[in-house]
Amino acid sequence: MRRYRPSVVLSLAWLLLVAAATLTAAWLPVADPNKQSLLSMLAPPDLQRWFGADSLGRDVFSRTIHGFRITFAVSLGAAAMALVFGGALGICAGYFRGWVERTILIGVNVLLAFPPLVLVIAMVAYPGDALIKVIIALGIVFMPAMTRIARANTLVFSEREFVTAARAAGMGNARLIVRELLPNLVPTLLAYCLLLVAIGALAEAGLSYLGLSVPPPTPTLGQMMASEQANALEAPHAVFFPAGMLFLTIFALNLIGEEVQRRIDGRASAA
Amino acid sequence: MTAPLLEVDDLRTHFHLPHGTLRAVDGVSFTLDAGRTLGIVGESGSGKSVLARSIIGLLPMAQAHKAGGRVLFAGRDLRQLPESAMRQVRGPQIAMIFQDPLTSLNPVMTVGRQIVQVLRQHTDLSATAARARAVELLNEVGIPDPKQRAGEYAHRMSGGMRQRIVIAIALACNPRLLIADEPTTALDVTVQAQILDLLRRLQDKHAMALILITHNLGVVAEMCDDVAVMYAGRIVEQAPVGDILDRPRMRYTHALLQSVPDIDNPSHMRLPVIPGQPPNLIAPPVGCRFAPRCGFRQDRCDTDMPPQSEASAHHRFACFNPAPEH
Repeated sequence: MRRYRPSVVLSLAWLLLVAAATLTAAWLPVADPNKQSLLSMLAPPDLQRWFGADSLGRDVFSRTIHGFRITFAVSLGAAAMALVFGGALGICAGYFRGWVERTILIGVNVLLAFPPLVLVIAMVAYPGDALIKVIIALGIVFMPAMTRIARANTLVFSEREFVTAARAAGMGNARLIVRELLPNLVPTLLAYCLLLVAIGALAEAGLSYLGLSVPPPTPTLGQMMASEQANALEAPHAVFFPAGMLFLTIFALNLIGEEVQRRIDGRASAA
Repeated sequence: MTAPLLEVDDLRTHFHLPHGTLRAVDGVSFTLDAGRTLGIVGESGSGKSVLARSIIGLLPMAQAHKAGGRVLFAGRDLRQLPESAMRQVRGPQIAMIFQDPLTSLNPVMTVGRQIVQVLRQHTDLSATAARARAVELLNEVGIPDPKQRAGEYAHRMSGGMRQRIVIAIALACNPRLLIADEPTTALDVTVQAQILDLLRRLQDKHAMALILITHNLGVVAEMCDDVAVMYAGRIVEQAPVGDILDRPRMRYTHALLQSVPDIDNPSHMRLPVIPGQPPNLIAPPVGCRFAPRCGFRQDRCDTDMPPQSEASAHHRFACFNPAPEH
């Protein structure tokens, strides 16, 4: 058992903290994220309001941890969608080859050729639940890369003799994919999925900054930054705290993703 | 006389490639009786492995083309069977083991589970019974401490042990025919001997027929009852092992045996080699495929395909100018 680096331990601790705060935001003894108080407009941080108040006097700390709910819902949802659908398509393409592979690759290439932002704007323009739409839009944007990674790795493992050996023992396609291939693919796909969570969190912040994500009054990090940037000189805390929290979270995700990747590589070279 | 267990008749497997059709197996016929061992020898690229995979139906579907022929196994033509029926054949009827035991085991599954999985696929053993049977099988192939080893992963085992486990998996359902594709090539010499010994013991115990693919004539001499020599997708000579080794007729077999180093020769002597390269199987020679490399070539070798002649009841060869019998 290898020891964990301090940076990884800190990252994990940070993520757990943020995740716990986010999950329990509704029950935490924090202020209502949408309660306005004209008396405390742009109030600086103090012991009551750790992150201060924004231009409408809303509690920035409370809004930040509520905003993370959208961040995580979108990034985890989109990454999971890419993992499940992209992974399945990629495995099918790599395993069955032939026309299945050609069809899937054409689809993937069409998606890749589409500018992601245009795709997202087009998706968001449809009526429906904003959260679901953003998740689906980002999931579609994330899928092609996942499909390609899954396909490439499936190609590698399908050529390995243990797959032929399993087939020589009379195993069918479904069993082969689930029992023989999938356990070998999961680590690589999960590592990339972790990376997608980080990218997704950033992408959601970008989209909500542009007003393309979940609309107000639901607080989101990007929308907080967008609405408070006019006062950034006067009251930097209203922009700085959500941005800083997001930065630290993505930084932690990336450090962990890198560690997972390193361990997979180490395992591959040891095997 | 009863029908043979396996009868391969004019088997052809071609690969459609962008630049032509590669005739990897081009008209191969042989028979194999239950409990006997057939060695298939030939150099790399002569079509040995494709032949083996054609029998068990494990060719890459996209390019491989069943160009003709029959594979009669216990009276059924395997080439006509749908994939679902083939899956019932692979394992309980015909099993196959591969060259490289490093890659024939799943790296992320314990070896015990890999055996259990095959057992559960083809028998109605309960999970517990299958696990017990797996340990028994490991014991049978000579894995020390089988109970503990069953719970381990392949990377903790040596090449020889892994090949033993591969054999245990192949034998899990008592197949009537085992195809071993160069089972000892990746192993060092002492382990090779152990594995061959194990194969022979298990073959006797289970009354199983064995097709042994190899390019090692020593292995052939040791293990086989009959030998088929493959060259460029065809069987050029087949006979009982003694006839092949002592009285080869076809010039390729002859040259092949000549190129085996003799320990009595002085060490500075150059090894005899067969000059030239095996033919391109997309555009093979029209006549005898060995003709361009043959030292005894006649004019008609270039134009006509030599037919199978019989030297004796079980000894057939395809050559216009065979080596004399001595």
